[in-house]
Amino acid sequence: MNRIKYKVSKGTEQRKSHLRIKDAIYDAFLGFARNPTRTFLAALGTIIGVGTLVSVSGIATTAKQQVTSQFNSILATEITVSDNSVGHIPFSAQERVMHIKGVAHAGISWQLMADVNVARDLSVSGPQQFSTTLPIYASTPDGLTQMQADIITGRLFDKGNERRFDRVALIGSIAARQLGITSVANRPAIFINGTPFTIIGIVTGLFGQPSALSSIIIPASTGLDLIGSPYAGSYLGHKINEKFITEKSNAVLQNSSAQEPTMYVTTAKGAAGVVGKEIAYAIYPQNVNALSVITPPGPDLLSNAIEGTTATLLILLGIVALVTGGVVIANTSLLSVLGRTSEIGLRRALGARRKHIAVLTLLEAGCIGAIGGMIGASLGVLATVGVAATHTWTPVLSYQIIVMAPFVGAIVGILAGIYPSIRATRIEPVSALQH
Amino acid sequence: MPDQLVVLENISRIYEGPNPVNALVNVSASIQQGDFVSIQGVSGSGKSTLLNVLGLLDRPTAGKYILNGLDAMHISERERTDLRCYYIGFVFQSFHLLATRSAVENVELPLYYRGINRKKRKESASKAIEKVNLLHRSASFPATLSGGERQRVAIARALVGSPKLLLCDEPTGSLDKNSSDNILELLEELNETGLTVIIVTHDSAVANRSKRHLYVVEGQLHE
Ligand SMILES: Nc1ncnc2c1ncn2[C@@H]1O[C@H](COP(=O)(O)OP(=O)(O)OP(=O)(O)O)[C@@H](O)[C@H]1O
Ligand SMILES: [Mg+2]
Repeated sequence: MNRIKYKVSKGTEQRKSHLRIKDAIYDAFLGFARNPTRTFLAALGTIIGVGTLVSVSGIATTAKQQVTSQFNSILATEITVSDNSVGHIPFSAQERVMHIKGVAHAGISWQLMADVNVARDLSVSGPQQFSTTLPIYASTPDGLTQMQADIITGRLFDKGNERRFDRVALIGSIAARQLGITSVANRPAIFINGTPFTIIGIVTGLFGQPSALSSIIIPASTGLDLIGSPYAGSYLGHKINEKFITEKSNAVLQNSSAQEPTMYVTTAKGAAGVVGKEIAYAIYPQNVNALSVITPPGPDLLSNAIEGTTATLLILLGIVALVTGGVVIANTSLLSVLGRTSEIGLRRALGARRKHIAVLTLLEAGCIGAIGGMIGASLGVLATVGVAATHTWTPVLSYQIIVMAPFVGAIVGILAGIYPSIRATRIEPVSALQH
Repeated sequence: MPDQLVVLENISRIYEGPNPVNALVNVSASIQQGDFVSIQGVSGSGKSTLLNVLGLLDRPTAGKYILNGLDAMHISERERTDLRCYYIGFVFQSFHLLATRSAVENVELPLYYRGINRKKRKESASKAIEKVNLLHRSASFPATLSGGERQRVAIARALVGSPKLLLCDEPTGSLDKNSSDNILELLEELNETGLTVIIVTHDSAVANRSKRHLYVVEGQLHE
């Protein structure tokens, strides 16, 4: 007996049941290709699952992109540069910053002092002098744009006024009312600390702050010339500084509290992030920490914020969708296995090992999952494009998720196929073949 | 010994359960290579049980089974599968063809489990189909074939792997007289080429075509 048994294992060594993976794939392919209805029903779960995943992610990224570009175009172009305790903004800063690629405007402005005696010469209409104390700003012509100065009547000062240190001033709408100025046609004059200035325009806007509307704005060069540096004798751009700080202006500054200058830089759309990084180098290459550069929350920050809220939802939805898809595959696979009991019994009778039955069922489930993944991804793309089209947005989809979809589907299919395939291997040929 | 294809000694098969059934009781038999054996008996006598034991689809409760000189009792499920794969062909009363595969694809099926490539599978399957005179219906699906044609496809499938033993359980049970004769002629032809055929039937007209007649009566085998 032992001798014969030995012979069995020896004798059947070359005659073992074996299934090449290529043939198994072909067999599985015939299995689902010849049963399109069954395949479709089984794939429906993954179609819905992957479809949901792709469309949710697509719509989320599309919406994100949309918000980002809107944000970019409105807000994300303004950079504020101000002093910190280490350094000051030199006047040459404006020039240097303008050379940075992506910069549209750059302007410097500062509030000269809290209390400046402003008097209007009323000699034309009477002998009295009207006198009050108003805040005064100094600004470069470009700085006016940054201050959002809107002309009501007259004109803004320009580079020419700036170059010539002209004694011209703009007046805020509230200050104009206080001083009784309604028109600039007859060139009204005011005295700032005794120096006459011609009012060339009445402005509104001014940071959108009502308090700023009761102020007077003079060209930055004039301000420096007349009243001096906001740094009380320290440098504000070497040349201008040396040239124009006078004893008189020093004296004025000593008993007034000038605010430090702020530079406002407007960039091209989306360039704020890059420009922001270069500004410090352009102004103070020797010490990039000398200034504080405040860039708006750029697309990165913003999309992170949006991603934070949508990512959780996205992942949850995706998981729910995929689990649903998996359950549907598991269900249909199980039904299909139970419905094919006699086929499986027959295959076992014809020489298939339990392993071969498992491979076949798993391959079928995996392929159905992959097909579902592909169809689902296509539908997801269509849904994204559709939603984007109705909002006239640009559809944005990460290609990774589309490439991954069939694999995700296949993995879901294989996972879902595990239990049905175990059930399939348990089918006994004898009972399966009874009619 | 080698021409003793099948040796059964004191085989019994008891179906456990609330009412245990002694389906086979001390069955002993030996079948020569090239034999054409019929197994007859009334319904429920144990014919199918015996055939399943012979075909290694079912394990007897006790006894000794030597197939082609190899111990077929004390081996694993895997080894039994290997033996089925290379030694045994089955023909069933209800054909058991896959509805979604063409005739030739059905015949190919056993060859998948022998690691045979697609081209060779197709060749062998076509040859087997030719043997049962159905080459002209190779591409047809089972639903479009007559009962007799379906059984011929099933026989081709059983033959494609060149088994040593062809086991037929009521192969003509679902067929009319004409188709039935046709199938029996085919089986006779195959037997003449040296194939060992065992056919289970309750129809003595069918059994008369065989060379050797066995009878199962209440689980016991008689010559
Ligand atoms: N899986 C099973 N569990 C319990 N009893 C069984 C099982 N299979 C068969 N039997 C019993 O064993 C006995 C023999 O059954 P078997 O199928 O071998 O008979 P048969 O001769 O082939 O009958 P038929 O001509 O109707 O096909 C019967 O009494 C049957 O009820
Ligand atoms: Mg029977």
